[in-house]
Amino acid sequence: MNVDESMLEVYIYETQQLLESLEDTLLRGENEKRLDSDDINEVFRVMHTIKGASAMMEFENMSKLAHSLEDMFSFIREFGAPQSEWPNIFDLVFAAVAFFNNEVAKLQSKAPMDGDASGIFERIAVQLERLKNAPSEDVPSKANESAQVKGAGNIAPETPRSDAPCYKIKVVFQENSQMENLRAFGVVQSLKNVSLCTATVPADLNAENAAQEIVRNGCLIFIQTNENPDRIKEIVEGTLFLKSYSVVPIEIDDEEVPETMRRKKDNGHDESAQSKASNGQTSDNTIVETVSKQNFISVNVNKLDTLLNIVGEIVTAQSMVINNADFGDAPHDSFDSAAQQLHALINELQDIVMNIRMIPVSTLFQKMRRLVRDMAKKFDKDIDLELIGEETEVDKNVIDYLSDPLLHIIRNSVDHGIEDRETRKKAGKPPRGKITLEAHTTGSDVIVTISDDGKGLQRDKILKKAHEKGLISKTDEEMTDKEVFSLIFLPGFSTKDEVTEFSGRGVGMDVVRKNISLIGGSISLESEPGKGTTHIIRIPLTLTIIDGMKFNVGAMNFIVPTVSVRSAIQPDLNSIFKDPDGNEMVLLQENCYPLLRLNQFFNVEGGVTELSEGMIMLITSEEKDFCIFFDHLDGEYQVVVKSLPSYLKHCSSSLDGIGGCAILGDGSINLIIDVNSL
Amino acid sequence: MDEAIEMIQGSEEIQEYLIFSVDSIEFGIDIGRVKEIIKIQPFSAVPNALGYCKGIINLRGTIVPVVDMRIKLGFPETEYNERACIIVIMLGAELIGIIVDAVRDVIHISEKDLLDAASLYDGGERKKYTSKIAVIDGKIKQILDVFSVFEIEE
Repeated sequence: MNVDESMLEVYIYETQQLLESLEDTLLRGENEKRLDSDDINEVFRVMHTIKGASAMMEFENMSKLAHSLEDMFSFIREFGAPQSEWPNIFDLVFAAVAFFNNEVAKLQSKAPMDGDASGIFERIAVQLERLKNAPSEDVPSKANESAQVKGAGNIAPETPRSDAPCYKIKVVFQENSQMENLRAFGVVQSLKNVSLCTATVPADLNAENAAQEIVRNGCLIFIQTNENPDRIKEIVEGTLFLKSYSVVPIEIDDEEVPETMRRKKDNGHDESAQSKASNGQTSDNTIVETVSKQNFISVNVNKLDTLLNIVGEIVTAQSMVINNADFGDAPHDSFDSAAQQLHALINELQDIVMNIRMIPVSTLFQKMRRLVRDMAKKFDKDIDLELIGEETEVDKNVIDYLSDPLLHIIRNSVDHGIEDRETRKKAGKPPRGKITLEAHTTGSDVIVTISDDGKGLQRDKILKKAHEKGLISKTDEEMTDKEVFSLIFLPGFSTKDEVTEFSGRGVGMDVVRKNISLIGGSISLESEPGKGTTHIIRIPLTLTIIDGMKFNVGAMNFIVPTVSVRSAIQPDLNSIFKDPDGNEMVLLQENCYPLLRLNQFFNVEGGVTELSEGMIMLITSEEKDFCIFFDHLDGEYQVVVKSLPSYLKHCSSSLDGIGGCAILGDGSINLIIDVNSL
Repeated sequence: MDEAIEMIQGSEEIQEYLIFSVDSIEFGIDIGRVKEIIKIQPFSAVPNALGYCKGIINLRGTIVPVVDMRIKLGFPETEYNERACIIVIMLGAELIGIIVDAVRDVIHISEKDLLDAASLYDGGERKKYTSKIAVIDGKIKQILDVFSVFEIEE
């Protein structure tokens, strides 16, 4: 026997599954002392599949037995079986199933498949003979059914009934499912039962290279049938190892349909009338349904949260173990290598758990399509929404938090951003506005950009409004574009004068920013007058585990996310000066940055006050870069972010600048700095 | 049958309270809220902490804010002696630690022995933290209304 291991595995798995479902069917049927036509079909299908697969694997006994049972059920399906014979039939099938199970078990334990099925063969032959001679009692109804459900076997396609609709079915099997041609053959066989005429691409499924071709392109099956498309889908869906499939109505004279099928149909039929008649309907039901069938299970999100928490605790416990190992001077190479391995495994575990929680952004993006459509109609603007990277996956929590900001930004773009047709024409732009929603991942972040080709942000208008509201102290010339645009994220800022149904209530971008920062993300925007605006939302892929640098101020320990740190240095006293308002500034690499003393900001006792004794760190946040002054740096850590207990806000006059907390391996509590609220 | 009903009704009426002292006053708290009692331990400071908040502690991976009841209830602050301890109580889904001078006892108080505090005295800051009063063996126990102490809505 010359088959490779994986193929054998697939065969065993599949056959066991089939036998299991067969047994279910039989047990159910035995209670009622007979099988109904669906069940008969099921038995027939199972036998057929086992026959094919076994023949392929050269398990002759199995294949023959399946074949003879198939014959018997083919007969029963056609002509029915008298009530008195059913007990015998059940016995026979159970005996056969037992034989199959035995053989498969032998196969699994690598024992020779030496079972002798000749007894069962004889009984089947006798049974079939008895059935044939039996007076047909309860047949009438069955006969009707079987008129439509034509005997499958290997009967060639019937002459097509020219007015029956035609479908193109595409089936794609899972990777490495093996014997794809045989699987495709199985599908075709089951479809033959309900169709008047079938054809496939590749045409000959038994050809040598058919399997490879199906692996590459999937298998196309064309059928002509009066069956309901739902029934067709049902049949196709029953196929094992199916990755995806689609059922699409198609014209019988479409070029895609193989010649063999087309010619038959062309005979004596008015082609033009046919195509005219159905042209109208093709447009709105081109795709009946495309379903991806995968091995999904649904899991309560709470369970995943618990799992994630535990993994977080494991990370902490791991560093506790590794950092507290006390070997004195003894060598501990083996501990080190074991620790390293543990670290790698835990990292992998972490990745897997995070990955489980990932879902594609497509549902969220699709929601926006509807919004744009409705709003464009309302404002009488023509707007296209382009979606890019819908398959990008983000954490479940991120989806929940991202929805509102996206809605808001897109509303803004439609309402404020994109001009009406006249204005666009005057500006020499295409009359249809365009909004692009794009998601992609970069290493550690997911980036979602929303760009429109509207009028862009007007610097003057924003500045004017900001002055009116007293939001800025600098002169206009001092403000960079980035700073000006970031003004619109301030609470209570809205340049649109009138309030519309969709946007412009002045509670806007500040809420957007807040929502995004809740999940540790940031938002920035770029805009060019007349060309459009682009919002860039950046969200960390993992929400709960971050790399951070630890430092302390007095007795308080802090962690600042490493991504926000540009540099940490011993301050050069000559580079620190006070501006006219008395604010301390640091001159670093020819740039001036404001200096924030954390001991004052957080009101910590016992922190270093002499600049020469502490350290400064250059921090980059969404709007600005600045320096913080602290006591000393304590290394880099990977920490699990925990949210602050909500009661803590009653314990402090201000928790600004704190985003969460983390417990390190030594059990110490560290506060995580939120650089955007410092 | 009647007995059983009586027992059930009886158990509804009698509650267990943990009695602790702050300054000269004995307070009671529904024992169902008490998670555990731990000794005073080093606190991690909280930024811009208000006076009554001593900091946060790490209780086996859970971060618990700790409040000094002396300060919270308006008594003079003192050094913690060896009897002082932290009672960790559950408020909704969260834990809060309260520092008390000493834990005294666990007693059963039946519903009918509890008096409505508001009818007994008026005025005074501490009064609003006390929902009920019980007199046990001639001593007054004030039952703490944790939700109003911690300004959390039920």
